[in-house]
Amino acid sequence: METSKLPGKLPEVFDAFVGGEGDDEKEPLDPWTSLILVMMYEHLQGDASRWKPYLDVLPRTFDTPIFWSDAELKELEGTCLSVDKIGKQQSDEMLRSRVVPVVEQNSKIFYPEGTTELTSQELLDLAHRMGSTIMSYAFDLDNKDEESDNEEDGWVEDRDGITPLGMVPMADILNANAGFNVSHMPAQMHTSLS
Amino acid sequence: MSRQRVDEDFQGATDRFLAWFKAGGGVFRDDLLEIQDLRDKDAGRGISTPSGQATRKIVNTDSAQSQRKTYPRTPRCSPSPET
Repeated sequence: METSKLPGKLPEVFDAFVGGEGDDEKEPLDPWTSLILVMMYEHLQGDASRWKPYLDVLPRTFDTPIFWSDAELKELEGTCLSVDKIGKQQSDEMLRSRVVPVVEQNSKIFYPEGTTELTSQELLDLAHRMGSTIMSYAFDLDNKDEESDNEEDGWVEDRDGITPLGMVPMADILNANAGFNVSHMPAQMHTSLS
Repeated sequence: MSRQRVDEDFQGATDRFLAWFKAGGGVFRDDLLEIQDLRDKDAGRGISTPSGQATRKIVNTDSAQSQRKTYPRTPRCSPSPET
């Protein structure tokens, strides 16, 4: 989040305490939603994104149940993996209410000139894709060792006890091979998309 | 074992990613590591030693203790003790 231009362009969405516009609940974005938005933004920037070579090696499709069709899900009937547990409807609602509108209301920021805007459904699909990417690739940027209020470290404060999430290029590739495993890597500002 | 075709874009994307990573100040020891295509193991890309080279080198240079050193540990990062 700190290394993307998006929060600077949409301070009213990302800032913690905008306070009191009244409409909807204007609570700060959680790390999850923030990172989904940032990843969607960087994706939509295409070649203009400094993260493009990294985004290109991330998966484009997932075959996890959240992407299954209704017919495929029906085959799960009777197993312990219920539709409820997969939580598709719940995450659809979350993404529709908290992610998709942000893009649609700020299309000038999200879409570079000359690109076509995505439909709400396409945005929802993209949000799911980014959400799944985060779920399988992102790291907790745990800064509890940094007690001082060091603004330079590029990490946001631990708000509401929720650890900021970040994508760490290369470290996630180490995790692909079960023989090696990285549970934590020092993330420097210039090498993590968070 | 069915996947034998070469996916140029897959390799191209890996190469571009690696070049980008290095250009951004990342350190990647090509002599010790390579990014491999692990799609046949349903794992996308993974980092490993280049096709057994490093393994052989270490075994040859150190006879008695070589067994324990056969695999270089994950380089340049150490697992956090608390997780």
